[in-house]
Amino acid sequence: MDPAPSSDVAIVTPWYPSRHRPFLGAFVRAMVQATSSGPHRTLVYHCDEWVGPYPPAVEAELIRAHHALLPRILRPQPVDGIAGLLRLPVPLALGLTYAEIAKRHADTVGAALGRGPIDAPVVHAHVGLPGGWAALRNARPDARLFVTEHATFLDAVLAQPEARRMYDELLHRCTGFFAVGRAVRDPLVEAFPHHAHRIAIIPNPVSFAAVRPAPVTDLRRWLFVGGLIARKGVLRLLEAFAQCRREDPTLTLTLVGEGPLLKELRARGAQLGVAEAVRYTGAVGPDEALRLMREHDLLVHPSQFETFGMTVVEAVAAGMPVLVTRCHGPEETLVGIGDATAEFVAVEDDPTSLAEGFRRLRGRFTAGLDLDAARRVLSGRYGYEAVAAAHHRAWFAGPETAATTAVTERGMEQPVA
Amino acid sequence: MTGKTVLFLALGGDRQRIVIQDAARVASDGGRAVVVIGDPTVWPTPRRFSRRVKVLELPTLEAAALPAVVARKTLYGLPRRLCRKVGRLPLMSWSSAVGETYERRIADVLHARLFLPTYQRLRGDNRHRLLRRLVLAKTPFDVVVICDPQSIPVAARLARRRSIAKRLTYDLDGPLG
Repeated sequence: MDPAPSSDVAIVTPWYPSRHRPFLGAFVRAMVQATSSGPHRTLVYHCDEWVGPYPPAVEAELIRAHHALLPRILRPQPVDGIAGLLRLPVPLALGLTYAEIAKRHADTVGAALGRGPIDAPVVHAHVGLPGGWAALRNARPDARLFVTEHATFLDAVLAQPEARRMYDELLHRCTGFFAVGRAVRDPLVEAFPHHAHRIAIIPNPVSFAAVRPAPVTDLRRWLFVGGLIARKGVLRLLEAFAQCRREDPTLTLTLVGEGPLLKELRARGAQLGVAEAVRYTGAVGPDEALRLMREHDLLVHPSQFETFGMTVVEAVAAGMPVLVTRCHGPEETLVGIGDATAEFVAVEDDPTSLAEGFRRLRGRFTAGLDLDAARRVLSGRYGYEAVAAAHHRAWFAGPETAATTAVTERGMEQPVA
Repeated sequence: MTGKTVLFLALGGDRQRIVIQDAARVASDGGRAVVVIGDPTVWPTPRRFSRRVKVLELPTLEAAALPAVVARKTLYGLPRRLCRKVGRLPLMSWSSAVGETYERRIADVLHARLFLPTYQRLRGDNRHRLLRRLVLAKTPFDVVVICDPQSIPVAARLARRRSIAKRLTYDLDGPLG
């Protein structure tokens, strides 16, 4: 890659959707799509982690070879609407610390660029460590560096002293730092109170362009979108679905996503006698997931923790109500419109409370929710235009506005105004 | 990717699902997919490859290299022929037993403790030469995909030749140089 491609904005991210992992970093792609509406050219550096059990001797050799090879064979992929996408494999041995992983990302970007820095006046990274660190180490000296933090594993990062020190340096040196919600901002402010004034909130953007062909008339077709992992509460969901289906045999459930619990879910579904009513689509691309939302009646999102909970906002954008846990992100994103579109339940393992939540929501749906009003409100908060405008103000305005562009203290009441 | 001839370097075998899917895609698009794998035992279900995908095992390629062929002929082929000549009836059972003992106690030990270490020391890591001679020279591949980290050092050596470097990529959909 000689010379390094130039752009007006460079995005550095460890997560970006690909053919094989269409969900990974869908929110980063949404942010890129939303913010690329202007005349500026955006280039995405996707540091794609290739994790494996490599012995140290092998790892050292392959990293040397990788760094020599990268600048020779790496070329940006053409992508609609942006200047290009660079997929940079980052080989990682198992068991590395967050600091080591961040340094590997930085070294890989550096190797891909050859001797030069990222040739862009604005560099926006996703995830403090590793993305922010890779950007910090490779940005031009005069570049304005921004970071958006989404990570659900932030506590684990900050628990490692070296990673914490690097995070502190990143916060100190970046032009602007954004959390996608309070669930991310609060632990950062607690860990780095001296940087509290620098940590603003800009949420993930959600597309409100597509309109549901027909409004929801009954809450029969349940939908779950996400990883089939314990944190997402999928086993609780299946149990609750079985309870509710005993009362209404017309209910169906579609699980969109993949994960290690798939086998267990299938087996438990058969035990509960609901196997024929449950469909597993596997991983699908973001566009297909949104299309499925427009074909279902209810999103059930029983996650234990979300920093933002993009799926919940997407569901409201798709004109459907949501049954969701109080897992941090959704309480914030749906503030003020819960009555119009949502039923909240506690984060716990008990499926009965989830089933009761469904009964309450169904009762309220019959009485009348206001899904259109909720959709309008969220479009103003998280629509592409609103979120893009917040980014553009930060990127292209004077340095004094960078850290204060987004709402910092009033949460989501006026998130990106 | 329609109609392309694609070589997948999957020597590590730790991104198997991606390799299997991509190779199948090349084949279903009317192209030709060849996958080179390292240790076949790390592929729990090698038969999951599409029937239209050709799978080459590196140990088989290594066995086809000239020094390995010469060593096999010297250590095993010639003594077997000798045994067959000497071991005519009524010496057949005797020569057969001697031949088996020779292979177990001498040929196998010499091969494992003398030939292989010496060969590896003299030639170093020559997997790239084997691939160039036995795979790349025989088929004009349009694209060579580096599928996992353990294939990177081999790919880096292959890339010393500009004609191969310009066909190398980390991503099946990635642009070539």
